[in-house]
Amino acid sequence: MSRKNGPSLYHMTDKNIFDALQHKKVTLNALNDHLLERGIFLSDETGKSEITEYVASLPHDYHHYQFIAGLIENSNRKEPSTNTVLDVQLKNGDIKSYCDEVVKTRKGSGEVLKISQSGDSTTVTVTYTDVDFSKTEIRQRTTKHAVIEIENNNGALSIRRPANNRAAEIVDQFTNELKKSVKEEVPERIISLEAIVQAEARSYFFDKLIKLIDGFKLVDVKQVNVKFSESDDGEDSDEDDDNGVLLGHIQKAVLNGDGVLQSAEFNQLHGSGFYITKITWVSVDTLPGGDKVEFSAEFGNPDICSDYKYKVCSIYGYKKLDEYNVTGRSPSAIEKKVLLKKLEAASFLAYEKVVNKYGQNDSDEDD
Amino acid sequence: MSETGNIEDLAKIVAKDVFSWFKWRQAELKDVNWSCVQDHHKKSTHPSDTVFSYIHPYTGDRIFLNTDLKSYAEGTIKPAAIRKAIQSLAMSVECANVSSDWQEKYIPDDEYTNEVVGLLFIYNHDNKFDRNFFSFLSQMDRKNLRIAPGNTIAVIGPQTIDYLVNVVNDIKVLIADEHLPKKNELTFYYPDLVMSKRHGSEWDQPATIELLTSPWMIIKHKPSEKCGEEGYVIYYRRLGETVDEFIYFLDTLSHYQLLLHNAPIKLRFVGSSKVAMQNFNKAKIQYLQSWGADPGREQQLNRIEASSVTTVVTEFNPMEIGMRDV
Repeated sequence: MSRKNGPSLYHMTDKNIFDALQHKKVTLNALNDHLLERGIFLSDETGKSEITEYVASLPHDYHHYQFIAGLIENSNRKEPSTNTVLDVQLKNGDIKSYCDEVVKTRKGSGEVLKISQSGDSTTVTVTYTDVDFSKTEIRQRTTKHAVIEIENNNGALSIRRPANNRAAEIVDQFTNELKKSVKEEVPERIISLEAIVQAEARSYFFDKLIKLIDGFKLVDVKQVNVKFSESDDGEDSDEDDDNGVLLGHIQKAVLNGDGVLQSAEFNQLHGSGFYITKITWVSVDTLPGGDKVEFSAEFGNPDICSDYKYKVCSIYGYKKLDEYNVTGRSPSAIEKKVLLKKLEAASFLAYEKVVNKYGQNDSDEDD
Repeated sequence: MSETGNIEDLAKIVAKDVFSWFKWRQAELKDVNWSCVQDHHKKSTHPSDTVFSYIHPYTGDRIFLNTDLKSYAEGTIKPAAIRKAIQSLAMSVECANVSSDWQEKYIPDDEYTNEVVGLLFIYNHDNKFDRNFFSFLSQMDRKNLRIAPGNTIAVIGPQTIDYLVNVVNDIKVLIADEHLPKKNELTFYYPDLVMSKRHGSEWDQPATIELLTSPWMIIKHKPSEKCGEEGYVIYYRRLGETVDEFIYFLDTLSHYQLLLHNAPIKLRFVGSSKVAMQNFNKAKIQYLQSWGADPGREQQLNRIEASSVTTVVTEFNPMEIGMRDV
């Protein structure tokens, strides 16, 4: 937020380029491609440090910069989404005017904001420069786009956004504008298990979620992250004794493989006070010829189970009955939209079930 | 390879005319065979069509370009033919770097550390080759080109030759119109880098082979009575289809400290798209905005005079060349 001056694109010095190309993701082949564009061929035996030094000394322009940044940037990193529901009755015109206010207040922040409306859906697209000084210099600035979607469903406003600070800030501003103008209380629905601390309840949420996606059948759980629940200690002392060594050292664990939830290891951990904080699973579209889809959901803050976010990882195309492509592909924009909506709906359903079963407050649960 | 004497001469004429403007020295000896000293080459001699040389601005070494001049008709430019030419040149270069016969013929003194680089110059004499040469080159199998460790082979294809011919032609026109001083009052501009510093005097620097295939080259000229103060001419080779590339370019000029003095800068687009000028002007505005209002900087940015180079096509009649006795 502190950036006031300077272009979003900086000239990269030879040293910046040299440092960037040291990255282990940069292959000899990519460097040779880069040189080929300049008509230069080196010996097959030339080592990476030698090529890197040579490449760094050449003049680079924006297209080269993009090429180099692309080599070290994880291009298909899909950003997870999150959403908030506001229970409020609004007109589409009101939503537009709150958005306009947000755009006004963010003038001069170096962003480009665009608002578009179609039917009951309002989209705010933000193009901005993401700055991360912990990265090597060439990667410190990247141009990003965040799409915030506000859906007006007659009495409920569903706001979907990428799970990052920039988008959160904009949604907060939007919510503030809205609250300023709507006189009555606006109930806000988000998914957070902060108030529900039992390990069993937290895992129950994910267990339900993966089975509740409309039109999909759960096939397999591929990865589960679990965390030891500190608030559970002192109870069930019998089990503590059995697993004393284990409990003494392990705080978090990641279980990879097929059928993770059915594994003995998972059951053991789960039985000794660990809860799920992240899950990656595969479900199949139950329509004839439907694809197989890999989803993932997690709490960004696993300690307290808040900052819930989720994403559609990849799609394995249908080949023939019970057979799908082995390599997944990224979902298209339309697929993503449809699937994220289903994920959201399932998340709220699962959340409701947890709340119904385990109650809102943990303080007086003693049994 | 469908080369005939006359047609091969075309490549020689083009090369000779063009490279002197980039301050490359051409050796007196041309079309020479010299003894091979590497047993594994299984050859008695290697050929050198011509040898150019310059002192590298950053390393201070003398670079020799052992050059193979090819002139092909459009239909005969094939990846396999180029691959073969690179392999053969790679052997010559490996040998030239150690052969005393080559060294006696081409190295005039012991003043510098010498390095021999291979240059494959592929001229298209019927001017019909219109494909992107480097995407064309990328179809070629790059494995086993047999380039010896430490050696470099540079390939200049039809598009680069066109670009270079146009740059040289433009410089000639600018000099003739007295927008630039004489040939020896120009230098190629090499800023000090972080990891390499320029050697020797600022003036009389050559354009390295790497600069010739770069997206731009910067020429600095001395002040003169007729053309006024010291300034710069920059040849811009990219299409210029995005605003971002010019923002980046302006930041590069700023980094080189070229925007500090009020030196005139001529930006010359070579073969750029129709929107290049428009994008450049947009970039100027955005670049200024991002730094906040600064009249001094604005003034200097506005002194950059952008225009497109009138492109010419080199066309020679092979018969005529034959009669000229090159």
